[in-house]
Amino acid sequence: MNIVTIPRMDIETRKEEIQLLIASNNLNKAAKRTMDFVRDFAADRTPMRRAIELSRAFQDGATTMDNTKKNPLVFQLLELIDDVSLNNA
Amino acid sequence: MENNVRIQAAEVTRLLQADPASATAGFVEFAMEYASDNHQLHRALVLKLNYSSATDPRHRQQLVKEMEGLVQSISDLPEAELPVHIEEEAPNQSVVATPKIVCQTEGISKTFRKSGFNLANIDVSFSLGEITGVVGENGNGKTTLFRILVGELASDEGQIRYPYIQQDLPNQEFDWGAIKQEIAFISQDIPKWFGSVRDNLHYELAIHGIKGQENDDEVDYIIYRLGLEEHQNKSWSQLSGGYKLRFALARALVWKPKFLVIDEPLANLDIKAQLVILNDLRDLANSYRYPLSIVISSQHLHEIENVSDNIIFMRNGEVVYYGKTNELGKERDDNTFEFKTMLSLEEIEKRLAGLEYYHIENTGQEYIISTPLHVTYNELLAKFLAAGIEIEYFRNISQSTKKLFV
Repeated sequence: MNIVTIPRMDIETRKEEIQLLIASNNLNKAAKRTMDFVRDFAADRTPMRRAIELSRAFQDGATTMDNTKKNPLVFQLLELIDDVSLNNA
Repeated sequence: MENNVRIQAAEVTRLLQADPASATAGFVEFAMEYASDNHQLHRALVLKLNYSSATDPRHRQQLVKEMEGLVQSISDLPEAELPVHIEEEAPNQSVVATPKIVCQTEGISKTFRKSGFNLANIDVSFSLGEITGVVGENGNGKTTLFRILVGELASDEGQIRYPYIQQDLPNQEFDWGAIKQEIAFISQDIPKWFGSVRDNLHYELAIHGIKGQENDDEVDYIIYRLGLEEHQNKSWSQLSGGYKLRFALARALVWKPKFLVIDEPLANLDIKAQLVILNDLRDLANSYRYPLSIVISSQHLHEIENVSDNIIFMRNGEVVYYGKTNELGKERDDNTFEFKTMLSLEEIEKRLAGLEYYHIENTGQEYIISTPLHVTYNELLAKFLAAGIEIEYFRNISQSTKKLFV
């Protein structure tokens, strides 16, 4: 991947977009935008593999999933975007 | 700062107690503004998520209690640990970068001797990160223009350039072979392919020189990003029309072109599938690392206008309108609305006696009414309802290309 210089504000705006999608229970879109976020801002490919694994888990039925299964996945998604964001700081 | 956090915390708590269903959005805003660490913020987002999906009133009540507790713990921090917010200044307009032009035409013309059709004097440009919608009835030159843009057809006159692509070529020369390596074209009729969706995507990347682990990763990304995961091992005959289009998009996007041209992609899709695809294209065009310029033709005007930065309206081989979508109809002389009703034109005119309007026309599919500028959507709708005009559909088209079709 190419290394690009990214204004901090752009990362924060994209991060907030995903956080708000999660808060509004739009998990499929949140998973898609997480993949885009990682593709745009991660320095290597490892976070993308995590994003795809999470996306796969969400598409296996996040809307019908019990909170005890869903919440840990959501926390992992939020931690992933924080990690990518921090590595760009 | 301290007072501000505590005042807001008290207000959020009051609202959560009074009307939790409306107050949860404010709770999230509060957490995004004042949470002192990611743990608190993540907890707030998940509480709101769980509240949105909860159906049991007791569970909802319990979640509201937890939200109140979290608000309290955010505002209870000692002053020294409260988050410090620095207002960011809006970016200076003068330093905003000008759009990077991917493709630009000057005076492009093409005449077909057999049919006599003439594409005349087309001056348009397409920028990185932008979507341009090309609208117009069938047979007005959209596909001809697209075939010229992607190098399938030569124009008789005029010039075409690809500045953003050519800048990376030796001496910035015009080399069709190299330029086409950055252009993806999805035609109206998606050609049949052999093998599985996944295998074709691996192959597409391989012929663009992307191999090994990177090839696998990019295929995984595009399959999951475009919702093809359940269909990745299917062949052509096992996919519906909507998924064939998704596959065509995946194959076009997987190698990260800079210019994507799509001819009538929405024709056979239901409205939900149209919105998903258009929103995906909107997101992908705006990619930070791999932005692209997208040109789409469609008869679905409202859907296209919703995602397009620019609109080109073509009639009889000419560009009738070309500009920013949000500037359409800005300098109009009247308002125009379209509606559907079972009533006849005479009956509508009778019932609207006393209303100030210029003209009503039955197009065969719907009615179009034009009014003075001061007549608003709400006023006209109220008038229709008061006059007992039952409507199936009512839309303001004053700032839509639909008005150009009328």
